[in-house]
Amino acid sequence: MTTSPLPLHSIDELFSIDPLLITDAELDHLIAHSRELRAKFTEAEARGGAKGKKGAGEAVNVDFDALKLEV
Amino acid sequence: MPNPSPPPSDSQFCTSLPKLHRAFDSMILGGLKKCPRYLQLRFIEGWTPNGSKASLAFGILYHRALETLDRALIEGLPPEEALRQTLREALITSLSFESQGDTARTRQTLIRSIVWYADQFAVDALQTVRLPSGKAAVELSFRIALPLESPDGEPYILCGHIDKLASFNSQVYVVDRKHTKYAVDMRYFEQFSPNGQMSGYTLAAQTLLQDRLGGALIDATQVGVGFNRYGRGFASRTDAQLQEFIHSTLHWIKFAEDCARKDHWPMNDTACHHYGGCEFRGICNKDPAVRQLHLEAAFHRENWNPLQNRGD
Repeated sequence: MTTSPLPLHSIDELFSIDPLLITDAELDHLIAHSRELRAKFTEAEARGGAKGKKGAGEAVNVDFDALKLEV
Repeated sequence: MPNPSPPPSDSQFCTSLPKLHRAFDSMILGGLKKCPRYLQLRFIEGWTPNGSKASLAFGILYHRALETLDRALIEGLPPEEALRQTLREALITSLSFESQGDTARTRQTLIRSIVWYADQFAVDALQTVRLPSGKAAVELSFRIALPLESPDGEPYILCGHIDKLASFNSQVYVVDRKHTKYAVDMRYFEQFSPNGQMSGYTLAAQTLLQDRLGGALIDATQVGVGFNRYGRGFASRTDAQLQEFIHSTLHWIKFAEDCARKDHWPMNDTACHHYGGCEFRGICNKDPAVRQLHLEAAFHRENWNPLQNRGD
């Protein structure tokens, strides 16, 4: 595994090159990019403007931490 | 309750009746329930459409990636290093993935699904079980001897692969991971009760864990073009429901036995148009005299062996 202080490839290029050539720094860049998208999506959802239909039954996620407190 | 550990054998079919399965997983049982002709074409003769479905391939890659992440975390890797390792492997394994025009299932959305999952559940009350070997309890293959003898004189086998065992509040849950393009809402989770796959997993886990089993849980993500949403829902079964599942399963197996003895696999034409249409609809709607030609043109043979072990 090689490491590089700076990403050599753009995000798009990372999906077209040999994965073995991707450095740790580039992986971190990819992770940061995904997180940026998540932050934007979360923000848009909070404003009620996120794309993607949510469906009828919204209260789906099992809140495990909340359940734990009740026991 | 059924017994674990039936005699090991790699053959999924009976020796004395070669078109009859001796091992049934949720795919084969589901195929039989859907349509005996589907069972014959897909799981006995092994016909598979040319060009794999993007949804199936994406699901396999997503499962594999989360399995890698769980293993890395159990091994004690720092979360960022575990994620890096998972992404690197996912980029390698997805290299030949073709989205076939499916804009929600691409290599980019796969990577995003993994990163968002890792962040969403960075602090998780549901903890992956550590096996006595020290490894993560992920991708666990099981075989259960059913209380019914095959024509070979051995018990039929119920088998499958459990995605993960996870603990929560001193109990263990069977976790099954799913991905969908649809909303992960109440209606989505309703499809898992009743559901043969989840009943089978619960039965297997209960045979192994008994009172320590809390139930089954679906760990799902909605994959959109530009987002993921995650949801978890219980799909638990009572003992009476599991007994009912066993009883029904034995009934279906006897039905398969009858089909195999007569070598007749009737068509269930009420199932042809479900979920966008059965993959064999374009075969079954042809005159029987030309079906084989159409099969050979659009399908290839690829056996599904439910006894093939996965994981370690």
